[in-house]
Amino acid sequence: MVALTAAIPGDDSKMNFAVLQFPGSNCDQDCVHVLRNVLGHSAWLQWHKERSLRGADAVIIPGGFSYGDYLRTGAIARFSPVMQAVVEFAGNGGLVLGICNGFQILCEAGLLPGALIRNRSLQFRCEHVYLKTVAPDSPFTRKIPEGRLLRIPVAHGEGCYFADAATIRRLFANRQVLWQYCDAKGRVSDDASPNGSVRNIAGICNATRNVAGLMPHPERASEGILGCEDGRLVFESMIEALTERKLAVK
Amino acid sequence: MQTALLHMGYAGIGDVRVGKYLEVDLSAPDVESARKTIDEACHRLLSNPVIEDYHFEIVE
Repeated sequence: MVALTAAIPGDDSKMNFAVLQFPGSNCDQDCVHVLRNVLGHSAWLQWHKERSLRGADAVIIPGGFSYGDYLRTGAIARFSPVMQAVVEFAGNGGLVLGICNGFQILCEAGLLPGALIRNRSLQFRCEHVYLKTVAPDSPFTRKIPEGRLLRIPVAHGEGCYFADAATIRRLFANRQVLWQYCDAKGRVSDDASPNGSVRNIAGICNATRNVAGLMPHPERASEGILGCEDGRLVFESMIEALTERKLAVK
Repeated sequence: MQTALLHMGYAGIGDVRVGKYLEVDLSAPDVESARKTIDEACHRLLSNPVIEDYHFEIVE
Protein backbone atom coordinates (compact mmCIF):
# COMPACT_ATOMS: atom_id res chain seq x y z
CA MET A 1 0.00 0.00 0.00
CA VAL A 2 1.26 3.43 -0.89
CA ALA A 3 1.43 5.78 2.06
CA LEU A 4 -0.27 9.15 1.75
CA THR A 5 2.03 12.13 1.62
CA ALA A 6 1.93 15.74 0.55
CA ALA A 7 4.13 18.14 -1.31
CA ILE A 8 7.76 18.27 -0.20
CA PRO A 9 8.50 21.98 0.26
CA GLY A 10 11.86 23.37 -0.61
CA ASP A 11 13.16 20.62 -2.88
CA ASP A 12 12.97 22.00 -6.41
CA SER A 13 14.38 18.85 -7.96
CA LYS A 14 11.40 16.76 -6.84
CA MET A 15 8.05 17.39 -8.45
CA ASN A 16 4.88 16.71 -6.51
CA PHE A 17 2.08 14.80 -8.22
CA ALA A 18 -1.44 14.38 -6.84
CA VAL A 19 -2.94 11.23 -8.36
CA LEU A 20 -6.70 11.43 -7.94
CA GLN A 21 -8.56 8.40 -6.63
CA PHE A 22 -12.29 7.95 -7.23
CA PRO A 23 -14.40 4.95 -6.31
CA GLY A 24 -13.58 2.66 -9.25
CA SER A 25 -10.19 4.15 -10.22
CA ASN A 26 -7.87 1.25 -11.02
CA CYS A 27 -4.72 2.74 -12.56
CA ASP A 28 -4.04 5.05 -9.63
CA GLN A 29 -1.42 2.84 -7.97
CA ASP A 30 0.34 2.32 -11.31
CA CYS A 31 0.70 6.08 -11.80
CA VAL A 32 2.03 6.60 -8.27
CA HIS A 33 4.46 3.70 -8.77
CA VAL A 34 5.86 5.12 -12.01
CA LEU A 35 6.19 8.68 -10.74
CA ARG A 36 7.68 7.70 -7.41
CA ASN A 37 9.64 4.48 -7.95
CA VAL A 38 10.58 4.68 -11.61
CA LEU A 39 11.08 8.42 -12.03
CA GLY A 40 12.01 9.28 -8.43
CA HIS A 41 9.54 12.07 -7.78
CA SER A 42 6.91 12.61 -5.13
CA ALA A 43 3.41 11.26 -5.78
CA TRP A 44 0.45 10.49 -3.60
CA LEU A 45 -3.10 9.26 -3.87
CA GLN A 46 -5.66 11.99 -3.43
CA TRP A 47 -9.13 10.80 -2.38
CA HIS A 48 -11.95 12.42 -4.35
CA LYS A 49 -13.64 13.86 -1.23
CA GLU A 50 -10.68 16.13 -0.50
CA ARG A 51 -10.99 19.74 -1.55
CA SER A 52 -7.29 20.62 -1.37
CA LEU A 53 -4.56 19.44 -3.72
CA ARG A 54 -2.00 19.68 -0.87
CA GLY A 55 0.47 21.82 -2.76
CA ALA A 56 0.76 19.55 -5.80
CA ASP A 57 2.77 20.76 -8.80
CA ALA A 58 0.67 18.64 -11.16
CA VAL A 59 -2.45 16.47 -11.11
CA ILE A 60 -2.90 13.06 -12.72
CA ILE A 61 -6.44 11.77 -13.23
CA PRO A 62 -5.90 8.05 -13.70
CA GLY A 63 -7.80 5.39 -15.59
CA GLY A 64 -10.49 3.13 -14.26
CA PHE A 65 -14.24 3.11 -14.06
CA SER A 66 -15.04 5.96 -11.71
CA TYR A 67 -18.47 5.50 -10.14
CA GLY A 68 -18.92 2.36 -12.21
CA ASP A 69 -19.31 4.45 -15.38
CA TYR A 70 -22.90 5.13 -14.28
CA LEU A 71 -24.87 7.41 -16.61
CA ARG A 72 -21.83 8.19 -18.80
CA THR A 73 -18.11 7.61 -18.32
CA GLY A 74 -16.74 10.37 -16.10
CA ALA A 75 -20.13 12.04 -15.68
CA ILE A 76 -20.41 11.60 -11.90
CA ALA A 77 -16.73 12.03 -11.05
CA ARG A 78 -16.66 15.56 -12.42
CA PHE A 79 -18.88 16.67 -9.52
CA SER A 80 -16.55 15.26 -6.85
CA PRO A 81 -15.19 17.85 -4.40
CA VAL A 82 -11.62 17.32 -5.62
CA MET A 83 -12.66 18.21 -9.17
CA GLN A 84 -13.65 21.71 -8.02
CA ALA A 85 -10.07 22.09 -6.81
CA VAL A 86 -8.77 20.73 -10.13
CA VAL A 87 -10.85 23.24 -12.12
CA GLU A 88 -9.35 26.05 -10.05
CA PHE A 89 -5.84 24.58 -10.32
CA ALA A 90 -6.16 24.27 -14.11
CA GLY A 91 -7.55 27.80 -14.33
CA ASN A 92 -4.36 29.04 -12.66
CA GLY A 93 -2.21 27.25 -15.23
CA GLY A 94 -1.50 24.04 -13.26
CA LEU A 95 -0.59 20.93 -15.27
CA VAL A 96 -3.33 18.29 -15.38
CA LEU A 97 -3.08 14.98 -17.26
CA GLY A 98 -6.10 12.70 -17.67
CA ILE A 99 -5.45 9.13 -18.75
CA CYS A 100 -8.28 7.00 -20.19
CA ASN A 101 -11.12 7.48 -17.68
CA GLY A 102 -9.27 10.63 -16.62
CA PHE A 103 -9.57 11.93 -20.19
CA GLN A 104 -13.29 11.15 -20.11
CA ILE A 105 -13.64 13.02 -16.79
CA LEU A 106 -11.80 16.09 -18.15
CA CYS A 107 -14.15 16.21 -21.15
CA GLU A 108 -17.24 15.85 -18.94
CA ALA A 109 -15.89 18.60 -16.68
CA GLY A 110 -15.51 20.93 -19.66
CA LEU A 111 -11.74 21.27 -19.11
CA LEU A 112 -11.20 19.65 -22.51
CA PRO A 113 -13.51 19.97 -25.53
CA GLY A 114 -15.43 17.07 -27.06
CA ALA A 115 -16.46 13.71 -25.63
CA LEU A 116 -15.47 10.05 -25.64
CA ILE A 117 -18.15 7.71 -26.95
CA ARG A 118 -18.51 3.97 -27.45
CA ASN A 119 -15.84 2.42 -29.68
CA ARG A 120 -17.11 2.10 -33.24
CA SER A 121 -16.50 -1.66 -33.04
CA LEU A 122 -18.72 -1.77 -29.91
CA GLN A 123 -15.94 -3.90 -28.38
CA PHE A 124 -13.68 -3.26 -25.42
CA ARG A 125 -10.21 -2.99 -26.95
CA CYS A 126 -7.15 -4.01 -24.95
CA GLU A 127 -3.99 -3.94 -27.09
CA HIS A 128 -0.83 -2.02 -27.91
CA VAL A 129 -1.21 0.84 -30.36
CA TYR A 130 1.19 3.22 -32.07
CA LEU A 131 0.94 6.94 -31.51
CA LYS A 132 2.20 9.74 -33.68
CA THR A 133 2.99 12.92 -31.77
CA VAL A 134 1.34 15.73 -33.70
CA ALA A 135 2.33 18.65 -31.48
CA PRO A 136 5.71 18.39 -29.74
CA ASP A 137 5.31 21.91 -28.31
CA SER A 138 3.39 21.06 -25.15
CA PRO A 139 4.31 20.24 -21.55
CA PHE A 140 3.14 16.67 -22.26
CA THR A 141 5.09 15.98 -25.45
CA ARG A 142 8.24 18.14 -25.35
CA LYS A 143 10.61 15.26 -24.53
CA ILE A 144 9.36 13.04 -27.35
CA PRO A 145 12.02 12.98 -30.11
CA GLU A 146 10.80 14.20 -33.48
CA GLY A 147 9.51 11.39 -35.63
CA ARG A 148 9.54 8.87 -32.76
CA LEU A 149 6.38 6.75 -32.64
CA LEU A 150 5.17 5.71 -29.20
CA ARG A 151 4.01 2.16 -28.58
CA ILE A 152 1.60 2.23 -25.66
CA PRO A 153 -1.36 0.02 -24.65
CA VAL A 154 -5.01 1.04 -24.72
CA ALA A 155 -7.76 -0.61 -22.67
CA HIS A 156 -11.17 0.93 -23.14
CA GLY A 157 -14.69 0.47 -24.41
CA GLU A 158 -15.48 4.17 -24.77
CA GLY A 159 -12.50 5.87 -26.34
CA CYS A 160 -13.90 7.12 -29.62
CA TYR A 161 -13.14 10.83 -29.54
CA PHE A 162 -15.94 12.98 -30.91
CA ALA A 163 -16.40 16.73 -31.36
CA ASP A 164 -18.22 18.77 -33.98
CA ALA A 165 -16.42 19.71 -37.18
CA ALA A 166 -15.71 23.30 -36.09
CA THR A 167 -14.10 22.09 -32.85
CA ILE A 168 -11.96 19.53 -34.71
CA ARG A 169 -10.75 22.21 -37.11
CA ARG A 170 -9.91 24.48 -34.20
CA LEU A 171 -8.04 21.69 -32.37
CA PHE A 172 -5.78 21.06 -35.36
CA ALA A 173 -5.33 24.75 -36.17
CA ASN A 174 -4.26 25.49 -32.57
CA ARG A 175 -2.01 22.43 -32.38
CA GLN A 176 -4.14 21.03 -29.58
CA VAL A 177 -4.17 17.52 -31.05
CA LEU A 178 -1.19 15.96 -29.30
CA TRP A 179 -1.38 12.36 -30.54
CA GLN A 180 -3.05 10.40 -33.33
CA TYR A 181 -3.32 6.63 -33.66
CA CYS A 182 -1.13 5.34 -36.47
CA ASP A 183 0.34 2.07 -37.73
CA ALA A 184 3.89 0.84 -37.12
CA LYS A 185 5.10 2.98 -40.02
CA GLY A 186 3.44 6.13 -38.78
CA ARG A 187 0.56 6.11 -41.24
CA VAL A 188 -2.61 7.61 -39.81
CA SER A 189 -5.32 5.34 -41.21
CA ASP A 190 -8.73 4.02 -40.17
CA ASP A 191 -7.22 0.56 -39.64
CA ALA A 192 -4.72 1.93 -37.12
CA SER A 193 -7.40 3.29 -34.80
CA PRO A 194 -8.67 1.01 -32.03
CA ASN A 195 -11.87 2.96 -31.53
CA GLY A 196 -12.90 5.01 -34.58
CA SER A 197 -11.99 8.42 -33.13
CA VAL A 198 -12.52 11.42 -35.40
CA ARG A 199 -9.27 11.97 -37.34
CA ASN A 200 -7.64 9.18 -35.26
CA ILE A 201 -7.38 11.52 -32.28
CA ALA A 202 -5.81 9.76 -29.29
CA GLY A 203 -5.03 12.75 -27.10
CA ILE A 204 -5.56 16.51 -26.97
CA CYS A 205 -4.79 19.50 -24.80
CA ASN A 206 -6.72 22.66 -23.99
CA ALA A 207 -6.11 26.02 -25.66
CA THR A 208 -3.73 27.14 -22.90
CA ARG A 209 -1.81 23.84 -23.19
CA ASN A 210 -1.81 23.00 -19.48
CA VAL A 211 -4.57 20.36 -19.45
CA ALA A 212 -4.27 17.22 -21.55
CA GLY A 213 -6.03 13.90 -21.93
CA LEU A 214 -5.27 10.69 -23.80
CA MET A 215 -6.87 7.27 -24.01
CA PRO A 216 -3.66 5.15 -24.11
CA HIS A 217 -1.94 4.29 -20.81
CA PRO A 218 1.62 5.70 -20.54
CA GLU A 219 1.87 4.37 -16.97
CA ARG A 220 1.58 0.83 -18.32
CA ALA A 221 4.54 1.38 -20.64
CA SER A 222 7.14 3.04 -18.45
CA GLU A 223 9.43 0.15 -17.50
CA GLY A 224 11.49 -2.28 -19.57
CA ILE A 225 10.07 -5.22 -17.65
CA LEU A 226 6.65 -4.36 -19.08
CA GLY A 227 7.99 -4.56 -22.62
CA CYS A 228 7.99 -0.88 -23.45
CA GLU A 229 9.16 2.38 -21.91
CA ASP A 230 7.69 4.86 -24.38
CA GLY A 231 5.12 6.07 -21.85
CA ARG A 232 7.86 7.52 -19.67
CA LEU A 233 8.38 10.26 -22.24
CA VAL A 234 4.96 11.71 -21.40
CA PHE A 235 5.74 11.92 -17.66
CA GLU A 236 9.30 13.09 -18.32
CA SER A 237 7.92 15.87 -20.52
CA MET A 238 5.72 17.04 -17.65
CA ILE A 239 8.64 16.88 -15.20
CA GLU A 240 10.86 18.92 -17.53
CA ALA A 241 8.13 21.54 -17.97
CA LEU A 242 7.54 21.72 -14.21
CA THR A 243 11.26 22.03 -13.49
CA GLU A 244 11.50 24.88 -15.97
CA ARG A 245 8.58 26.60 -14.27
CA LYS A 246 10.13 26.28 -10.82
CA LEU A 247 13.42 27.70 -12.06
CA ALA A 248 11.60 30.58 -13.78
CA VAL A 249 9.90 31.53 -10.50
CA LYS A 250 13.26 31.79 -8.73
CA MET B 1 -28.99 -3.95 -34.47
CA GLN B 2 -30.54 -2.82 -37.71
CA THR B 3 -28.73 -5.66 -39.50
CA ALA B 4 -29.80 -8.16 -36.84
CA LEU B 5 -33.44 -7.13 -37.18
CA LEU B 6 -33.26 -7.45 -40.95
CA HIS B 7 -31.61 -10.88 -40.62
CA MET B 8 -34.46 -11.92 -38.34
CA GLY B 9 -36.86 -11.24 -41.15
CA TYR B 10 -38.32 -7.92 -40.06
CA ALA B 11 -38.70 -6.24 -43.44
CA GLY B 12 -38.78 -2.49 -43.73
CA ILE B 13 -36.55 -1.75 -40.74
CA GLY B 14 -34.87 1.61 -41.36
CA ASP B 15 -32.76 3.56 -38.92
CA VAL B 16 -32.37 2.10 -35.42
CA ARG B 17 -31.05 4.10 -32.53
CA VAL B 18 -30.46 3.42 -28.85
CA GLY B 19 -31.15 6.09 -26.26
CA LYS B 20 -31.63 6.43 -22.55
CA TYR B 21 -34.93 6.68 -20.73
CA LEU B 22 -34.87 8.05 -17.20
CA GLU B 23 -37.68 8.43 -14.67
CA VAL B 24 -37.18 11.02 -11.94
CA ASP B 25 -39.47 11.42 -8.91
CA LEU B 26 -39.60 15.08 -8.04
CA SER B 27 -41.51 17.16 -5.49
CA ALA B 28 -42.11 20.69 -6.69
CA PRO B 29 -44.61 23.44 -5.85
CA ASP B 30 -45.85 23.69 -9.46
CA VAL B 31 -45.26 22.37 -12.96
CA GLU B 32 -43.21 25.36 -14.02
CA SER B 33 -40.66 24.99 -11.24
CA ALA B 34 -40.49 21.23 -11.88
CA ARG B 35 -39.81 21.94 -15.55
CA LYS B 36 -37.07 24.39 -14.65
CA THR B 37 -35.38 21.97 -12.26
CA ILE B 38 -35.46 19.03 -14.69
CA ASP B 39 -34.25 21.15 -17.60
CA GLU B 40 -31.25 22.28 -15.56
CA ALA B 41 -30.54 18.72 -14.35
CA CYS B 42 -30.69 17.43 -17.93
CA HIS B 43 -28.31 20.09 -19.09
CA ARG B 44 -25.81 19.78 -16.25
CA LEU B 45 -25.74 16.04 -15.60
CA LEU B 46 -28.32 13.77 -17.19
CA SER B 47 -27.21 14.51 -20.75
CA ASN B 48 -23.93 15.59 -22.34
CA PRO B 49 -24.82 18.35 -24.83
CA VAL B 50 -21.72 17.51 -26.93
CA ILE B 51 -23.13 14.12 -27.92
CA GLU B 52 -26.75 13.98 -26.74
CA ASP B 53 -30.08 15.76 -27.11
CA TYR B 54 -32.82 15.50 -24.54
CA HIS B 55 -36.48 16.17 -24.06
CA PHE B 56 -38.71 15.51 -21.09
CA GLU B 57 -42.34 15.25 -20.05
CA ILE B 58 -43.78 16.19 -16.69
CA VAL B 59 -46.44 13.72 -15.50
CA GLU B 60 -48.38 14.61 -12.36
